[in-house]
Amino acid sequence: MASSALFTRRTSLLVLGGAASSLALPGIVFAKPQVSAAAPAFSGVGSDGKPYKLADYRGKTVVLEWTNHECPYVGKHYRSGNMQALQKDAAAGGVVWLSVISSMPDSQGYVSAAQANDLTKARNAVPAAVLLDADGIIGRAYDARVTPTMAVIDAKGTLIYIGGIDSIRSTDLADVPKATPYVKDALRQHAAGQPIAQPVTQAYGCTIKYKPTA
Amino acid sequence: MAMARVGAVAVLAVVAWTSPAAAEIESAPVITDRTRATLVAGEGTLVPGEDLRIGLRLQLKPGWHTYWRNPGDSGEPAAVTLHVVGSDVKGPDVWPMPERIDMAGIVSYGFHGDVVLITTVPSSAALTAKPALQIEAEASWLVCEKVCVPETGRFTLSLPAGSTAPPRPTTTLTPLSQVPPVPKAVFARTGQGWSLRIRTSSLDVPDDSVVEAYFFPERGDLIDHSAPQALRRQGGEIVLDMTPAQVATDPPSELRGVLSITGRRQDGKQATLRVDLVAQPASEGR
Repeated sequence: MASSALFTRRTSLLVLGGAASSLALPGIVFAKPQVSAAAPAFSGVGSDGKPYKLADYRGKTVVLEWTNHECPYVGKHYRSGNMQALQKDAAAGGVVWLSVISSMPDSQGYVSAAQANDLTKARNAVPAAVLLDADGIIGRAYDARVTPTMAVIDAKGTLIYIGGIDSIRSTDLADVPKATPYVKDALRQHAAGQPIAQPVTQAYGCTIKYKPTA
Repeated sequence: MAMARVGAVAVLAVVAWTSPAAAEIESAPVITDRTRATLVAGEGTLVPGEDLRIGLRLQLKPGWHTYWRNPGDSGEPAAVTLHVVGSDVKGPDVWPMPERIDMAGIVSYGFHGDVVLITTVPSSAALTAKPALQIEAEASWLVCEKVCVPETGRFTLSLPAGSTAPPRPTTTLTPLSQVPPVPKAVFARTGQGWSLRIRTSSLDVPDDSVVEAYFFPERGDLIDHSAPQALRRQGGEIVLDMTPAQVATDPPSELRGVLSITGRRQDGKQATLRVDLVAQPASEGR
């Protein structure tokens, strides 16, 4: 039984003749940030009304955490206290933690600045700032597709980690202590001057509710 | 359900996942604001010496979807644990062909509407030792629309054991199998990604009539699910070029998944076929 929803508007390219020339895929919506290369620059506004840009943080390690407080996968890490603990450890180590909300207006996870500040207090979160990215520019620059997605940038502005927060794709709080804590490990290894064992992992979670591109 | 695994490809005809036939046994439902969930079995499917197929049936409200075994870029597949004759059987292991669900460019693999996800219980004498078989189950699944809601349910089912093996009625739980010659499929890692080549000469849809094809891999860490797949046709085969996932993985020893292929059949009608593939690595020189 064919499903009419099977193929999206971005249907496959059809190249007749079977020429084995180099592949020309249609324009991909997301940038492809590469670990060990320069992290994509960004500038945005925090829920405190202040401007934030990556260049401000040369000399510091930066963590980007895509969040959506209504997503049960984010909920797992906040209700368990896991995310807040990571934020606290980061702050203690001089790492700048920026939460990013890339949901478009009126979508799941979208909040006003005031609501974002209330949320931070209510869930005892301690990011350095919450960036309001309702146009999805920062999210798309980092190819963030779900919440939670995490990126770590070193003091030289190089992307050193991108992917999920940990290894178990579930909404079950009991899985937090069982999972491999990718971001915790990456920060620890980096602080110790060691290479990051798993610098790219698969993120799991709820789709980020981006503003559709044209 | 026979699947040849070595150097060949198994073909299953499209399973008709329509509403279950009247002759089905259904548990009491678990009902939420979005979902009516039941455990289902086909009447007459408890036959001595045969595997038993038990379905988790999810009837979703319009606009809501749930996920395939590889959910794509977001979401999570359903999980079922059956408790049958003192053993736990985990599933699902038999899934309908998924749809691509595109949300502002982020693609997941899943289902809308009424879907049955099957868990296969291997045959054993214990299944039909008594006049009735009791099955208990827990299941969890994720349904999403604009928001995602994890749901769970507990179910019980009682199946009468077949005393003889009557002609099996076709229900939603009986995949129709066809026995055409099996097409070959090979895959290779190219500079730009994964290339999958399928010989179409023995499919009912000749390669020069193929208008659309998409490959749903079982593993979630191989391809970029949100990227398009480029289709080429060349002399008796089609080629799909797929963008790799960002996660680095060792090359798989085989590439398993479901190919959806749309073309014009010999009888002139356009059709979409489901082809379950187990593609082998391309040998050198191909």
